[in-house]
Amino acid sequence: MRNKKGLEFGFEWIFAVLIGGLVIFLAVYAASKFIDTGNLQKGSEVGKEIGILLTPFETNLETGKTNYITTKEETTIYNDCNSAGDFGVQKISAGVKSGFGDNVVRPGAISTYKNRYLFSESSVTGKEFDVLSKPFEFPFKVGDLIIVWSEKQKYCFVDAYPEVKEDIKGLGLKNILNVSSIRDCPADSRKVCFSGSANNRDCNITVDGTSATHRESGRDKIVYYSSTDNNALLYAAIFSKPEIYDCQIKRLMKRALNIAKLYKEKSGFLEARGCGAPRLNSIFANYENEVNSAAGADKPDITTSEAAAEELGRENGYLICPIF
Amino acid sequence: MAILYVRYSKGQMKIQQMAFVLVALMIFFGMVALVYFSFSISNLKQNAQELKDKEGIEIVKKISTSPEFVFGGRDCSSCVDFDKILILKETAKYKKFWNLDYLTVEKVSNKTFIIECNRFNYPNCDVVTVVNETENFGSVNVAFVTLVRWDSSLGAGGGFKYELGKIYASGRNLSRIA
Repeated sequence: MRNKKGLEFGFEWIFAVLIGGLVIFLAVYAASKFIDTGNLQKGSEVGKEIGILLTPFETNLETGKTNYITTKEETTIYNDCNSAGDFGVQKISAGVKSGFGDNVVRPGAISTYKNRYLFSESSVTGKEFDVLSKPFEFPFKVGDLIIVWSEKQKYCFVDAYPEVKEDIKGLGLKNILNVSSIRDCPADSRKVCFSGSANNRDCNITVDGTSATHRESGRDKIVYYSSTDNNALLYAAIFSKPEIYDCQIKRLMKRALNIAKLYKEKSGFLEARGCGAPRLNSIFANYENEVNSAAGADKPDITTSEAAAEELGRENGYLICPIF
Repeated sequence: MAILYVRYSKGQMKIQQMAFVLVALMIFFGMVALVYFSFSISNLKQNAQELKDKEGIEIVKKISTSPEFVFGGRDCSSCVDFDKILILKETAKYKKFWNLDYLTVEKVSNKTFIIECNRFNYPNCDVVTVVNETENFGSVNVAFVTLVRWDSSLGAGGGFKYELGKIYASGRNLSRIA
């Protein structure tokens, strides 16, 4: 007798397969969303922590400070700057690579700071980040420039100024090679050429005493730095994306303007207490004009305000009770 | 009397059983998700609070080097300019400059009554409140500093007077950060 028992594929089977498929799909979708949200949360926490970690990098009496930040997982730090308002805003966020799905790292929540000036590329990726901080004085202290680059990015300085070579050695700056010819630079390094060697087409950045030109695929982008501030802006100009650099210069000029107003007010207050400096008023007015025009320019050129800053510093030095 | 016979097939029974199991599973997973989210949110709140406190500590440690506080002389690392801080207090722009809910600078003294400084009673006063954004600012961090101010009665033409002071600061509550 033939066995008539076959595989019964009735309605309950179809129902079970459909519901089972739906449950599995929902489980996978929920798991991927959990991971995504977890990464976003982790990125937000890391971004905030990096912002907090940058506080101890602010300088005191020293002319420069170096250190590094390490993260457990490969992290991308996003640097954004907005120059609108009284002081502008520094925006910092971070994205952590999950190891799940594609390689796109989504930035977490943005942390904002009015008193930070981060100079870097718009995003820096790695597990270890080199940090150099230098005070910016114009002529009084305006802020600390925090320059960040990744261990993955090597820089090759060709024919650097003696004081720059000294800085690199003295501060122990990592991932920066000092060479006398561009031929000695590693192929994957970013080549920074100083005055003497600046005409070479292989240079990514050329520095000429008051400006730094970034050679980018579209066109050259020039940024201006002051030669009177202990090379602080020179390093910022080299390690920073030109758009970020210009934005931070505008913010620094705005802060300089606000601090100058504080000092002017203090000068008037102390005048009534036997510490007169009436000559400073006109010098402050000139300084404010110069700094204000640099802060408002599309392409800020700090070199145009240098003379006013130097004059203010000189006059303050002559006072019995210096204002700053 | 009419008797109603309801007949169920074996298949219908299985679908009913499956539906019950599915509903039970959904309720179970829903409860697990609720527990997970409540833990994760409380953890997030705790992390946010820790970060806020950490930020307050770091800021108070370094605020004496901030250009708005620092005393111009390059020979004193923890000196803050008390004259400048008095002016700073009157400048509204700086209320939201640091991510702080509370920031005061106080002269260390053994007085019972602390007097808030203004242009009229300065320097015969004790404390300058630079930021006071909320009544509920949580934990406050303290750092000792040297307060420097110009005193025309010192020496022949006047001089700088150095006094011991304290800076109090509390980080901004994360829910208040725009």
